[in-house]
Amino acid sequence: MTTGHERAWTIGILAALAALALLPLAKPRDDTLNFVFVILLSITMAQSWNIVAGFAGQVNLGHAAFFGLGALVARTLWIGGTPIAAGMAAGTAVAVAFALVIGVAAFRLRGAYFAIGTLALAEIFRTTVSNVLPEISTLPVAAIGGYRLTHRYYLALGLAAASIVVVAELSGSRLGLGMQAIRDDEEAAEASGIGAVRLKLTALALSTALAGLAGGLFAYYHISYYPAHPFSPHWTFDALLMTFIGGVGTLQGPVLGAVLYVVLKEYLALRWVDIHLLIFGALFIAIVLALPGGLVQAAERVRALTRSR
Amino acid sequence: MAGLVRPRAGAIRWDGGDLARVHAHDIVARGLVLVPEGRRLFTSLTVEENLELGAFSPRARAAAPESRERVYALFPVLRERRRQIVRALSGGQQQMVAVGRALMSAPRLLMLDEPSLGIAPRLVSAIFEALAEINRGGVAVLLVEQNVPASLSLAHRAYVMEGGRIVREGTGAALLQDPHVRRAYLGPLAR
Amino acid sequence: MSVLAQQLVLGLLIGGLYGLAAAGLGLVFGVMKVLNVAHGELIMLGGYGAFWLVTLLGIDPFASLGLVVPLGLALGVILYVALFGFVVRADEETRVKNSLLIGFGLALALHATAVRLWTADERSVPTPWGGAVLSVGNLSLPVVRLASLGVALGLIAILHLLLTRWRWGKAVRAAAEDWQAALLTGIDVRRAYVLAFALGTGLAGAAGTLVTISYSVSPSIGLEWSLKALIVIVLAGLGSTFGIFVGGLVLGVAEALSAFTFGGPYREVAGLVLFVVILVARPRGLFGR
Repeated sequence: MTTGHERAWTIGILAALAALALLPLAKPRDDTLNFVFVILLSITMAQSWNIVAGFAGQVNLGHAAFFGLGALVARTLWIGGTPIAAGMAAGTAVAVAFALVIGVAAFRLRGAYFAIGTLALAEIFRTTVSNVLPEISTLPVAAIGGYRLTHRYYLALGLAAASIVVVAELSGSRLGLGMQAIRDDEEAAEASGIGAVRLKLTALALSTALAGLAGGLFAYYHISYYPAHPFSPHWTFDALLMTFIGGVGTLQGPVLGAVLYVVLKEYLALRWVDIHLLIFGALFIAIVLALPGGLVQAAERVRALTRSR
Repeated sequence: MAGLVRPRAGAIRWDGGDLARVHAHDIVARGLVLVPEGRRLFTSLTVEENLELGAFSPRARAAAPESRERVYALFPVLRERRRQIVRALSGGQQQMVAVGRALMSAPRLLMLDEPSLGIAPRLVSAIFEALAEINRGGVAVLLVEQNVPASLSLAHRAYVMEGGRIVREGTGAALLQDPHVRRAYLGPLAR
Repeated sequence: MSVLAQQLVLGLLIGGLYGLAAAGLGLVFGVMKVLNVAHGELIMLGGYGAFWLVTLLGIDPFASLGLVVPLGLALGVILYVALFGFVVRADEETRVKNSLLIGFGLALALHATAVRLWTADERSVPTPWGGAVLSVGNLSLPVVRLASLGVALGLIAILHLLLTRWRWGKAVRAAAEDWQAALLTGIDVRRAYVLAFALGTGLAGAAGTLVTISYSVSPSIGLEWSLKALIVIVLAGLGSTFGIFVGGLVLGVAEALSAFTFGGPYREVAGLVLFVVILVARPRGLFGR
């Protein structure tokens, strides 16, 4: 994968996002905006998960915990009167703080144990929150009156663009290369003087910062929801699926995966509620067994085939 | 030859067939049994259980009772310790279990990879005597060894390999006298 | 005091099922380093299998084990040959990671299918004993759950016998310790793996049946039981079949204590915290080697 290729994709995706910025001017229906919002949020979740999985090579199954923390803190502050921007910032800070504390212990675990360990930690968070805050959180009437979907929409756009820029920057930077070295062979990287733990923590910090912001966005977007909902593991699993199927470790993979996932979910939900999960589950297995680079790798193979004609 | 690693080219002929494509466990069924380097015993199981597992293939299973008696006759200490977990045995005794387990597989060709590694000299000669006995019983023995004096004094036929190539071959007795062999393995002052 | 004792007893009763659930997962992981996180979904399928057999054929719920277990064995063979068999071609660390991922995809697919086929509602199965209760002093022991514990223990004992007395059981243990050495002894390791995976799935089916009989089944129990099984495996380690069963009992009791001390909703948290602590502090588990 040449940097030039990735730069092309970065520009392309950012251009598409810029085009989407014009969408509200066409006065579309609310469900259209909501649909694109979900895609944008998914892109952010997938791309943020990709940082730890694709670059540092660790399967983090606790991603939802940071999404949830961001949402929790932001929501609490915002309903209490703090402006949403400050709320989201605080949410992110809390998420990253927890991530670093957890990361120091969790990164002592290898591979699969890290995965199930982070899953257990996230479940601890979810269970606790669901017990401490079992009631639904609803916006006060005044806030509902002043609700502007377009504000949330632009925020989502900005966040998605930010996540793409972060990954693009990581790709070429020394930081990113160091992370990839760890992903490919941690012992060898350590032996060459690359501080594995610090790099993994950096990746985790970036990843959870974006997830925390996404959580704040979620809190800003929904009028009412159960506080434990953003802690649900399905947020992690969705991000994992989208990233893997698109192509983990690539820039465009999570974006493609996210778009495909949301579109399939929306259009197949009519006949069979979770059929998109069945399809993605099967696709996922196929990818793990045969095509680890996901759709991006598949596209490359097709391109190589057609080029060699 | 044991089938754990596949050859990239060429054939391994045995009994009229080519072993290159045969599964490792089937190779054992055909009579080629390897005692691997480092013994690779099932250390959490007892001596008895390790021996019993040696007789896994149907042909070996049929002969199991006699094979077991032969193993205990060759290595009496194993009969005493047959209920012990292998991990509790000394290196030399473990090597006996490894050879015993291979014998339980009813081999026609017994292959051993560095059996003397890490074993007290006294036990090494006991094991080598056992190998001679096994050979007299009609089992061909292929021995890969760094212990030159012991193995050359035992071998009917020997091949010296250096850097992956066969550089000398002959009877064991002849090679023991060969000046090249003596200098390389027995020291520069050897004549 | 008797409230606590009652809670502990109930914790023991479900702990036996935790142990059975973990035994299947632990067998597969111990033998071939395949971490099938869809194990919970297999338990769920076993539960639905029992439900349908009882509903359609009217047989006694415990008797349905006689059909669910063989079906589970067969399903295990199919899953290994079609799916997990490909994972074992890699080295150990890759095996664990890939099987985790594949298990995840499988769990997703099975869960979605279950929701489609049977809706998200809970189902349970009535037994002839109904809500009968055995009274011992101040304690009430629900007969159905007591019987389930007994069956679970019995199945664990059978597994232990299979692994220690049966030729192929020993072959499975040999392959678990050193698959190359096993090949050199003439053991068809591939067949040993198929056997282990089939046994694991059969045990999952049995666990699911008992869960449905004693509690209920719904598509969402999959994730929950996968986690329970994982917690028990980490708690108990992989060295001993009975050790895993005891580990399940320990988890059940720990959960009961936690619910009693901190309140019902915190039942789950105890197990999860225990899990994380042991994972970080003593990965071998309490009885592991």
